Amino acid sequence: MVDDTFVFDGVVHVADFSFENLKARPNPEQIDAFISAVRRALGGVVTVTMGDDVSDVAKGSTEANYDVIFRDAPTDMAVVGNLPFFGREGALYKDADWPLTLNYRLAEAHPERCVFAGGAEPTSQSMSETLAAIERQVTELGAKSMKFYPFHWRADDKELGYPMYEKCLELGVNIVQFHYCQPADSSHDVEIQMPNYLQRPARDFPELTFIMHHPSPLYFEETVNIAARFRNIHLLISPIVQLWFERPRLVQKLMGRLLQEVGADKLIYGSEGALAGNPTRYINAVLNLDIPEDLQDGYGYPQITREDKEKILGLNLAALFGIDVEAKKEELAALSEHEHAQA
Amino acid sequence: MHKPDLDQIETRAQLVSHLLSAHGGGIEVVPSTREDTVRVRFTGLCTACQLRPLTAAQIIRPAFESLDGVSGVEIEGCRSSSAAEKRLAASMR
Repeated sequence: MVDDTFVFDGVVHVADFSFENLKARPNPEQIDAFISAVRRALGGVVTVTMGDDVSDVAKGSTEANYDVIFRDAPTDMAVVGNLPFFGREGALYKDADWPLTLNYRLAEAHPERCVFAGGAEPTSQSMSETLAAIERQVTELGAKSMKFYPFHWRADDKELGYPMYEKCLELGVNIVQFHYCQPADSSHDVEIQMPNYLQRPARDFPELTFIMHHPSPLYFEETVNIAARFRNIHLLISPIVQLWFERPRLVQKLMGRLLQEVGADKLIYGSEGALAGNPTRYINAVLNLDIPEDLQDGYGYPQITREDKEKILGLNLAALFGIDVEAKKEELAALSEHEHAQA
Repeated sequence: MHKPDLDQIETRAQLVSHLLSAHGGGIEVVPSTREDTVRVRFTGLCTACQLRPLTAAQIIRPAFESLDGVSGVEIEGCRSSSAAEKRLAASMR
């Protein structure tokens, strides 16, 4: 919490960058390809590398990741999400479920702060296996949401996408998340990452809330229009917030436009977790953001208010997951006291 | 200041919607966290229209701000800078 502002991080991932759990020791080209793929998958903000001797965070240690996100930063809660495409496609790890296990471990160890989001990849297994994976993550691991990475399928595919959304609803999961506007590698065409493919599912599944990750300059006009028209589509603003340090002017333009046409009620902060470094700087980037006068004047972008920032940093996501923020603040204050007493 | 009359607000919203229906759009009232503020959202063809700020300035704000007890109008997903709002207001004089 910062100055009584509740911080609910919409995207944290834990991943293993050591060689220990890989099926085979990678060559330098494979390492480059892996890092590059992870970087793009996580919005371009990965700060770690791969090797024999990596940090505890990069090994996927539950407590090391917890410390960076919650002890060393003012994060109150976070959605901790599976990375389904790493496990099965290409079978990087000896245990195909290793990415799932790592993320679940963090959520399981700290249920008061973490909401577990599952994930499934329909192109690397049969549909019955995919649906079974969703069911297991919801019923056994307590996933409250499912996230999808449509690099090789379209979200509006009635054979690959719709059965998964129907399964989510059947299991009582009404928040689904999508990686868009951030292509992975040259194995697919750029247009598969168009957010346009969310429109039909958002229309056909009005009971579902769709959180679209990674609004970015790629397909930004489409993103704005779609999020403005569909009440059940919300935007998670990684990597916009992460770009603040390199391209502050671009961030002001993108955020100004989102505030103007989509509204602060539908924007969600996300750090990408400890793999992107200490999230404090991203939280501060949101808190310190302003829309300069020339953009207000020339583009009509509204100034961002403290109320907007509070919604973006936590209140919007808390509302989607049904979290009573005041009760949670009290619960976490008591927990922090307990942790301090134990330390 | 009086509390705004919710029936009056709803009636005014229906009138505005009737006007906007000529363009296939409309508005609906949504809950506001401030008692003196009317919050609405666009519907139909107005939902993501680029001209929402103009419609807001010319039709929606005047329709509600003239009601007793209403000191502000918020439009969900549509907000311009004060510089832009001043320009729009000046253009209508």
